[in-house]
Amino acid sequence: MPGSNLSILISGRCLAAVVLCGFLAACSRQEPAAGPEGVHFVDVAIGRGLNRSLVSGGPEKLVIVENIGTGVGVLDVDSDGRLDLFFSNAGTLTDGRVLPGPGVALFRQDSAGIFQDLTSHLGIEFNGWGTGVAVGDYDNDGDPDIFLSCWGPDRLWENRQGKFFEVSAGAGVDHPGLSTSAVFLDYDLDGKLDLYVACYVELDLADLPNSGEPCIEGAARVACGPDFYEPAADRLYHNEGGGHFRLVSDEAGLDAAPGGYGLGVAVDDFNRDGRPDIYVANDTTENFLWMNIAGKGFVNEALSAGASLGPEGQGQAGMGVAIGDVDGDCRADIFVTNYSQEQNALYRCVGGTEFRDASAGSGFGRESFISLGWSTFFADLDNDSDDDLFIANGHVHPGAAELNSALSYLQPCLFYLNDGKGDFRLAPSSVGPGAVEARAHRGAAQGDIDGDGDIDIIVTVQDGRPVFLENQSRGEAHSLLVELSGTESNREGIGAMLVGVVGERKILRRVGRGGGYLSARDVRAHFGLGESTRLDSLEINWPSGKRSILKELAAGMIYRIRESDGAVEAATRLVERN
Amino acid sequence: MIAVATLACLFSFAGQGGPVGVEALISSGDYEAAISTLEKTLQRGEKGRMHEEAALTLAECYLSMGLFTRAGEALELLAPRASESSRRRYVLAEVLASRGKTAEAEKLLASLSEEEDFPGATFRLSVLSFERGDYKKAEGLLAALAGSGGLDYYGEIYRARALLALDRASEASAALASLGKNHGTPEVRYLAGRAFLLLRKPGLAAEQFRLALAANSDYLEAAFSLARCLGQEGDKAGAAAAMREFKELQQAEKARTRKANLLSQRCRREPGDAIAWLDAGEFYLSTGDTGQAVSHSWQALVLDRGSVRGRLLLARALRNAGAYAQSALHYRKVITQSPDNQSAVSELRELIRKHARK
Repeated sequence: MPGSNLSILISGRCLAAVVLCGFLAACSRQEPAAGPEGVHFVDVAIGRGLNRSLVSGGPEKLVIVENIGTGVGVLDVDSDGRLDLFFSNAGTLTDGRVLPGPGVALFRQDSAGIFQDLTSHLGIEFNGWGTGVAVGDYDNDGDPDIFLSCWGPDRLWENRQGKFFEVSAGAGVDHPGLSTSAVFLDYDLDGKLDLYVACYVELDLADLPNSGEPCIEGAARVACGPDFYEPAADRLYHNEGGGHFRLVSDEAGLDAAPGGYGLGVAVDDFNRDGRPDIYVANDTTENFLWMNIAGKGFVNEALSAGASLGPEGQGQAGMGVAIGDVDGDCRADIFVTNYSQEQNALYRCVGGTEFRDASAGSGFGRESFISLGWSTFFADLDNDSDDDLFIANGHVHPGAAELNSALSYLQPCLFYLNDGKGDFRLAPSSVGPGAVEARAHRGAAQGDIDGDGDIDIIVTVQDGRPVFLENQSRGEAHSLLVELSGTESNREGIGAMLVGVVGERKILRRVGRGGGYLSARDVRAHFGLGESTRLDSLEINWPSGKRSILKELAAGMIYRIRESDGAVEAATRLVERN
Repeated sequence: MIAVATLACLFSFAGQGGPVGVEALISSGDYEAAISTLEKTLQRGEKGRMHEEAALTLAECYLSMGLFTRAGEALELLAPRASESSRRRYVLAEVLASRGKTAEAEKLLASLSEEEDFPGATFRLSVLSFERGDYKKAEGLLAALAGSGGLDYYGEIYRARALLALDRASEASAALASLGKNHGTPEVRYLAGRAFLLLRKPGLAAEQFRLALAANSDYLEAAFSLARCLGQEGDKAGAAAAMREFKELQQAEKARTRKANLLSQRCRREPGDAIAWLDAGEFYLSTGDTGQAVSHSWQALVLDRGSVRGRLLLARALRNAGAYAQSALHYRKVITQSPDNQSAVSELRELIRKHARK
């Protein structure tokens, strides 16, 4: 427990602008905290029981839906303090028919760190075509619920004290189509989590484009790309309470933009008005930046903000999206993974909602030209108080090398380390056995899965078992985790902005589970502290407008902070690192 | 625009050898007659230098026509040798590149670029490097060419693009400034604008983008960039208007891309259907992609040599590509085949009037 917790509670949002100005001024280009030289990840999936085969179509991948892949959600289903894992799974296609796959999987982590497949035991059964995973406590009952994007009607399982009940139809979210990433957010700040679902293409197996034939690239048969299909419109559901959602896409203004082949979704408050905005990575077309208009609707400002297209106005094949503070100026920058032979895009916020395409000047862009990126996120991988970057790669076409000998279907994940000033370097291949093995990666989610204070990573793989990249980095860097317990705000505090101060450095964290691709990360905020053994102060800006300030939080702990009085509700010690 | 560079390359390599008389046919752009002669030579079945030369020249002809598969087949008529000629290695490099074997193609081109008698290899190597995102290597190769005075307009354009991709806007700006004295093309204007934009000079950038758009109102990238720099200058109304124009162009571009994809896939699905190649070729011509139009019309003519539609498409594509003499040749062939074809007659007349001395 910390020695002295001073908690200050400030009501109202009127101070937000003043606070923001001071905050940004204090945020620019601080010296980085000392951290270890590198990171070390080891794939421990097999030893931890993660042996479920993930399927997404047949081996040839000749229809676009087979390229999408599967996702993963990181959540504590039974409130035992240990993170559990939910994997989506898909089926196969044979002669124009969809065949069931191995089914979704819910693995519960036991006290020894072993994952037990308790899917049906916990009330979940689904062997249809799942894609993305969203997690959120939509009924504010203190446990996380699971939404599964599907090709076909989407699914929602309500968690009732660790047992799940399918409520898709009753909740009104069983919309058919081909949906991909989804995210819970409280866009109107009514304390209830709403739901944004990205949708990809209008796909009808009985009416496939190109006369029903696969496309031909070079000498290879490949799935026809999204340009051959009509884009599907994304969906926004408003949480009406009582377990019901209402489809509000049109009334919220989403119909103002044409469908955009949506794949990745992330949420942040880009203009710092206290309301969450939504960024959508679209395949081959312009990305969306849905700015929240007073909680009543959204306007797509991606083009005018400069965060929509490539540097020459070209639509890029946006897959996953990460939001983080790349350069320590406390502004939310946007990173989008793109297709092979396109650079990944880095849109740096230069003030307000104006972004500059900084892809060319960053190592992210140049080095990404050959790889095809999917899930991605910023996280402090080496606990040195800045945002590093992870990218899961893999081509869509199993015969990629036949199209171009510079390409390959199986590609390694990439780890970029930040020097604290926004200069990133690719972590060396010594990042760890299994961590840089080439695979057809897709979804990925982060969280301190083994509870030892550093960020671990779960990655899904096309037609293979998942990868559990356990962070086994050595060094003396400290850390802590923060979990929120909303009372006026939604129960998990999703949307809250946390500002941690360690020495001269400020660390920005947005509470939420979105971002990446098809996946949901741990909701707890992670703070790497470098050599410091404490977080000097923590400011919590709750979605309700309340502000809490805590002082001197000791490292090595998980703190649960209560909104009502801003106090530490519970503090649990992190597991000692091996 | 980049396609034009490829096209320029395609037109420049055939006709370096071959049986007597073939060279003249190739020079005039009459590849079909040249191919006919070369095939007769090859059919005689005599091995030796004539056979080798005929096969290699045949491959070069197909390469010039943009028919990479046939170029590859012609190469296979050659006997394997321990030491390959530079011409043979160049054709093979192009064939490999067309098959996606870019690493192998680059290796061949790299060996050629070290040989003084094949300066074009360095340029092609730089283009392949550029296309796989190795802008540093591309720029290095092009800078070396520039240093030896061997860089033409297209080379300078590639170099400027590579410099911009490397975030070296000042150098790109300098390269474009010298080029712009003689070539005030929309592309030079546009790239100069991008350099100014990276140098945080949105006013100067906007001027260049406007000049590019004045010369080519369909210039999508220039329209986008103009909107961006007006926004950076604080001209909200101007930025919004420019963005509207960009969106209109973008919609048209999306429709074009979709149609091109469908037509292209039809050609790949039914490679023996001359009509599929013609439909695609005519579409490419209508969108200004003359390189694709030329190769598609040749493909159609290989399948159906008597196709007036194919011949007329080829004549028009060559005309639009600036290959006026070759274009005239094919207009004449159309008129010979179909004397009442008024389009061919009037277009040939116009071509001669405008470009008789070129």
